Amino acid sequence: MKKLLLIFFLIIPSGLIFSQAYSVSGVVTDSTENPLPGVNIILVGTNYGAASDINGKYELSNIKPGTYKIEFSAVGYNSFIKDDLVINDMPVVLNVTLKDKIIETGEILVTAGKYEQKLSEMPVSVVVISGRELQKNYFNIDEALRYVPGVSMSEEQISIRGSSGYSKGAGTRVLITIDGVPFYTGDTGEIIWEQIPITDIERVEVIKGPASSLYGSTAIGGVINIITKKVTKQALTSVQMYGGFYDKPAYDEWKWYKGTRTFYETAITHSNSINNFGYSFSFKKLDDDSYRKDDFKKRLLGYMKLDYNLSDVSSISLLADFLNMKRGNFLYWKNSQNVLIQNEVDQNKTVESNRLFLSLIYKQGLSENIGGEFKSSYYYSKFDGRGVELTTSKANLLRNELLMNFKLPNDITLISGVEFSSANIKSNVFSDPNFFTTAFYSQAEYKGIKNLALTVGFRYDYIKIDSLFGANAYTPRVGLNYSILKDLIWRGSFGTGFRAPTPAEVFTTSDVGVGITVKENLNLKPETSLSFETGLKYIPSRTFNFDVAVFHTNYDNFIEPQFTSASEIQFINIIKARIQGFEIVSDVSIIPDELMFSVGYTYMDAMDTQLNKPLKYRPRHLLYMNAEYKPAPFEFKVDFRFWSRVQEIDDQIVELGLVPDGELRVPVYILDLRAGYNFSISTYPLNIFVSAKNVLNYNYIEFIGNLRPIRNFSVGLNLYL
Amino acid sequence: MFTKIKIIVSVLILFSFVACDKGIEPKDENQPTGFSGTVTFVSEWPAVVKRAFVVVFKDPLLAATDFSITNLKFLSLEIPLGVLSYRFSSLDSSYIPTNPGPFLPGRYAYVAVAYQTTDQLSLARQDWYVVGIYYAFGNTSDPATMVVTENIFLKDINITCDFNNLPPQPPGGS
Repeated sequence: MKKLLLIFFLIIPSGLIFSQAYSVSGVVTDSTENPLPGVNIILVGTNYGAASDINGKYELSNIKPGTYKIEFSAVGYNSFIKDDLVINDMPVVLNVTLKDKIIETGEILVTAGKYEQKLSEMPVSVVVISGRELQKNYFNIDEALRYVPGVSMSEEQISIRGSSGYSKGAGTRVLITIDGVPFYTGDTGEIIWEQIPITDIERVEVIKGPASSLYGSTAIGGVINIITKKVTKQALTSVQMYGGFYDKPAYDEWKWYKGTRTFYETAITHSNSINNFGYSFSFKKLDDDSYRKDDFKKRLLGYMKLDYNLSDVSSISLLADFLNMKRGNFLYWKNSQNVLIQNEVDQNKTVESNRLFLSLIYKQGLSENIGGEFKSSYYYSKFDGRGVELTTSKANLLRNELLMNFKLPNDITLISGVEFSSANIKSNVFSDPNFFTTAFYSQAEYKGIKNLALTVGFRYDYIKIDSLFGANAYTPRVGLNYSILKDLIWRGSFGTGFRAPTPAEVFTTSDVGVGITVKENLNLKPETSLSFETGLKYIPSRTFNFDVAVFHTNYDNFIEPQFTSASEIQFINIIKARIQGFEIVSDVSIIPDELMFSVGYTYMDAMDTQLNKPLKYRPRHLLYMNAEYKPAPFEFKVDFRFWSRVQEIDDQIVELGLVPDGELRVPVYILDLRAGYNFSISTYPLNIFVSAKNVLNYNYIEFIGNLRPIRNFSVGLNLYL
Repeated sequence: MFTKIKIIVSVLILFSFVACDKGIEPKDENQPTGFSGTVTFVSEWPAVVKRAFVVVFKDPLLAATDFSITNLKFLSLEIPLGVLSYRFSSLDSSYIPTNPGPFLPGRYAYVAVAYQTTDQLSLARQDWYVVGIYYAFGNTSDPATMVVTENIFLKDINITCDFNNLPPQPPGGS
């Protein structure tokens, strides 16, 4: 069936559909007349769309004569809309200047719903981080996510509004997608943050709350949609380099090394287009000595994106992303006197991994109101853990999705899709299981009533893990978005979610150090959820906005790792769990375009309602503040975050004495500073910066027995050629 | 302008407050190595009981020969007959070791309360009965291993004893 549809798309000559067509083109600039790349340009209500290139140029061609509404939007700028664009008997030139947006007013287009929607019309809380913001201020994407309101991390494990605790990455409840294609490993179902090429990101959309009705199992706690940069129309080479060092530990007892522990990274990206073919290549190398013994990291990352526009309504895009990583394997500190080294028996262990992610996206417009997408991806991952014994796992994950997009009468947008994925695993840790999933989903958005957007969606999933069980899941969801006043928007959503256990959670049988082993649990069941969110967004002026949200999720058969005997951990089903809370986010522009301040606070109550005790590794309070001061050509940024002390950890590990002083945990107070200077060498823009992370040299953990990075300083540059 | 100053001052006060706190810090190195806990008796003491002790064996009791003086690493002083609870500590006086102090770090496979009904203290296996075992985390199917780490003093090695419902007896009993 997939093949038939694909062939159907391919054989339709676009000329049959679009005849007597004309174009609109021009240049998009900012208020200082600098060209703006990456601006989204769409003819509203049609499938015509494009993005501006590195010189701000854009072109929409093969447009049928008529009167259109054209919209220009970009993260960080106010949208420009022209209602009466007349396409007649000659090409139209339309040059546009976008003004800096002091406050994000919600006119950004996001694709969290698998098609482009305005941020302000989303029925759930969504945060958008621009690629520019990421590349300027953060070295890794997980570092940036630690400053998003409602998001917390336990080492590599991400949690949106308390959805996840810590399970060494296995079985994430937050789905990461790259250009809408899910990105998680076939064996552990984890996110490999290091593989995400931060220099090639256009924007990141963080969808807070369950999204299983569109994305399936892994999205029970939310979705992070990473949109990669479009290839440029003209040759562009960018270089990002930084290097730095770790400060001395806060206490003399912790000094285990002489000299300086350093880190550096070099990333080079080149992008260009030849006629309808565009390409982008990037290469990145990172070396990090780390502040801890047995915690070094060496990474090589290669990224390639190829775009080919078959016609004005069809395109094909191939993305390849390869990561080779060698690192130490730091498990737990030795004791509070020696937090930066491990027990002698756990020292000198290393892990080497190779991972390749390939995705192919084929888009075809069938008419002005019907479009289709075929997405295929393959994820190969292999790791070898070298310690007393060799632990190894090799997984192949293949995934296909066919998505149709219909614009129906009465302002109804319908999307429907089918998905298939399968994986096979060869491992001495997870045994050798296979799994297979298939799914169907459909979602309709109705905007026929003034100021109201109603979304109704449904998804069916079938998941089969090896010979164990076949699980069916039905996940309906309804969402509403209503503009009460011009600047006051109410949103609400209600629905179900589910998550099937990953092979790692079911089959892992492994020694994880300090005498602890993980044991398989062949009786592990899928978890389900019922969730509700409502929120209000108030934008009284261009210099202030305010957003408040209340959320509540009940889980059944919630999967968490637990000690089941003195030295064995199993993933088990907690019968019932509940996570509820509220969130307040506000942005203030104290001096327009120059001094901005934002704050976000989240209260979370995450409980195992069966035992009436808090879930592990969830802080109750999250507070974020950041301030930016940009007196051109300088720029300064301050980031601060506070996470309250987690109430529950793996007490058993401490009580058994397996991780000495493992009970030590504190609230998190982290302050980061950055200063930058922008100038040009010849005509090439250059940004140099100095950065200080964890300025207070505050010692804290996100997981038992693992001290987070101590104070470190770096300098770097971003150069565009 | 006044608002800006207030914001800046508030932020500075907050950071100053935070800057005084360094978070996690090294614990006192002089913490003794050892363990302590409470024995709780949930039934009346039978009249036949002549003496009872907290016992700690290094290796699991898989055979009668494992219940031996060489495997026994801790023998508390006698628990007073008839008490409802009893606090013990490896730092206090004990019969084994004869000079209590820092305990030897390691993994101890069997921690229990044992009693005798003989008039004289006996070292014969068949003269001992186990009335309570140290379990952890609600798992009463296997005795918990006590891990003693250098410069760590374990505080909650708690044992519940019920003379009316004796736990599984180690091999070699009468």
